[in-house]
Order: sequence, then C-alpha cells, then structure tokens
Amino acid sequence: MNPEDEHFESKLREFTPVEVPQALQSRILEIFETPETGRQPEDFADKVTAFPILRSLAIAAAVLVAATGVFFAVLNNLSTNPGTGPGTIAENPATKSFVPLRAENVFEGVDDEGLFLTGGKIPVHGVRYRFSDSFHWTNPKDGSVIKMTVPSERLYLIPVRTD
Amino acid sequence: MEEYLHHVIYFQHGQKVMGEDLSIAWKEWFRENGTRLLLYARTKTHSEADAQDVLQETMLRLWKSYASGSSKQCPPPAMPLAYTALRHAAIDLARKNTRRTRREQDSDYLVSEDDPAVDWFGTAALEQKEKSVVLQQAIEELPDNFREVLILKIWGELTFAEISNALEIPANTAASRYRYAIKALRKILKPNSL
Repeated sequence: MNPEDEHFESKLREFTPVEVPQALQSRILEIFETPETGRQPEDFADKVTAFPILRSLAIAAAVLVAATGVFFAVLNNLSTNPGTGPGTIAENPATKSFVPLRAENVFEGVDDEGLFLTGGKIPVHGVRYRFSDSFHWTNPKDGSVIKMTVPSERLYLIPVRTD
Repeated sequence: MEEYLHHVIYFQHGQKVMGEDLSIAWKEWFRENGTRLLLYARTKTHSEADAQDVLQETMLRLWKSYASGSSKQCPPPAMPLAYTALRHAAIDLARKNTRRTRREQDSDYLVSEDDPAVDWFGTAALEQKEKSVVLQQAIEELPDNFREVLILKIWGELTFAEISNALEIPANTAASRYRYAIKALRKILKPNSL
C-alpha cells in the first residue's frame, strides 16, 4: 500500500463509531443476566430417529421393490427355461402345450398393522402389502388362453428402535 | 434452578469461572465491542431499527449457544465469530423483510419509511461532524462486499485472516477487496474532504 493510502487509512481511523444507544445497551446487557437456558447438546442419532415409522416404511418399500424384481426375474427364468431349475415339479403332459404369456403383479394397497411384540419381545412395526398376481398362459396351437388371478399379501415386520 | 444456573462452574482459559463472573465477562466484552458491532450491523441493514434488532438478536443467539453448550466453556466469542453471527442474522432479517415487503406489495399496503437517518460516527466538533457525514455517505456508496471489508479492517480492527474467517472468504480476497475499497473511497471523497 502506498504512503498516500496509509495516510488516508489513518484519517479514517480518526473517526470513531457512535456509542450504542443506552436503551439498546440496557436490553442487551439484560440478556447476559438471564440463565443460560439455550440449546441442549445435539444428538445426531436423535435427529435421525425423529420419524421412525416413516423411515421404516421407506425401508419396507425398498425391500418390496427388490422382492418384486426378484420374483419376476425368477418367473421369467422359469418361463423361458421350464424344468431347468432345481426342485422343479414334473409337469403335467396336458399343460405342455400352454406357454406363459404374461404375468402381472398389481399393487393393491398397504395396511399399517401397528406395533406388536414378537416372541423375542422385540417391538416390530407391521406393514402389510396387498397384491393381485395375474398369470396368463396361451396355447399356440389353438389360441386358447388360461388366466389366473391370485390375491397375495406380504407382511413385513420392521424392528423398531427404542433406545 | 436459577440460583443453580448462576453457580454452575465454568472453565475459561483453564481457570474456573463462576456463572456470575461469566455474565460480567460477557457484559464487559459487549461494552468494549458493542460500538464496532453496531457499526457493522448498520452497514448490513437498511434502517437503524433493523440494525439494532440484528445486534440484539445476534447477542441473544451467541449467549444462548455459547453460554449453554455442552462443554460449558463459554467465554465471549472471538470477534470474527461475532461478526459472522451478525452477518447471518442480518441475512435472516433481510430475507424476512423481503417476504414481508412482497406480501405487503401484494396487498397494496404501503410501507412508511419514516426511520430517521442515524450518524455512524460520533464527534462533538461541528466541522468534524460534517466530515463524518460526508464519510458515511461515501461509505454507503461503496459496493457491499467492499464496504464490509473496509468496516471490519478499519473500525473492527481485524486482520485479513480474521476478516477471512468472519466473511468466509479467502484472505487474499479480503485484502484485495480492502485495497479496492480504499481506492474507491478516495475516488468518491474529494481531496482534503476528510
């Protein structure tokens, strides 16, 4: 910084800010006389568990999506390679002429089963998902179609953190 | 309970400090630094009432957070931190005012601007008073980012490193803004006007 700027700085420093108005000063000094009743130590874990049910539902939804994906992957595998999987039941020769055409897994709704204790006295939150599973087969020879719709339910038990 | 809180033992710089002493320490700290904090608050707000509100809110926040933390190590904060808290409080207030103004404009409600102008610098001599008004007007003409660095450096008596902490900017940026602020201020002010 050049000497002129330094001289200018010193000139600026000659000006002093006005004092805090008495009324404001009194109000602020009163603040420091009050008991220190401010925030408590923050616990990150407490913040995370502020909405345990919502978090549980999110986990259940993730599990559901994964389970549905696995279910259809297995179904497709069976339809394209019938009889190749382990433990496959011997098919009725009469049904050999039918081939799987389509399978649907329709989400019907979800029911909150509430909290209850398991045998091990662990509190769990029950979430019941209802589906309607449809299977279509067709006979390429005569075009006949078999349709089957089966209601299904899946109950997820999600442990509830209580600590 | 209150009596208990006033006798909680705190630790300050390795020494035990009683709760009442803590209150005295904060009061002394404010008496020493209140004027420079208020000056900074005035540069960050658009009215005297807002500046005072921001300063009071900042002190309340600092007292609550510093004097009641889990560590119980609660001496008054370092000045860069106090300026940072003041700046954040001013930003909060500006956001609130922006929303309020928008609502009032939406409802065709006119806001009266009857807040009188307040001198930033105090002096008894008439000639010096005129100069201080000229200086205040010149400072108000500076861009906000130049102005705050100038205020913190000259009247806040902070180093560039401390300004860097207070404004959350690199120290080199603070230094260059300060140089530009000095040049701009000299340009605005006529020679020998101070």
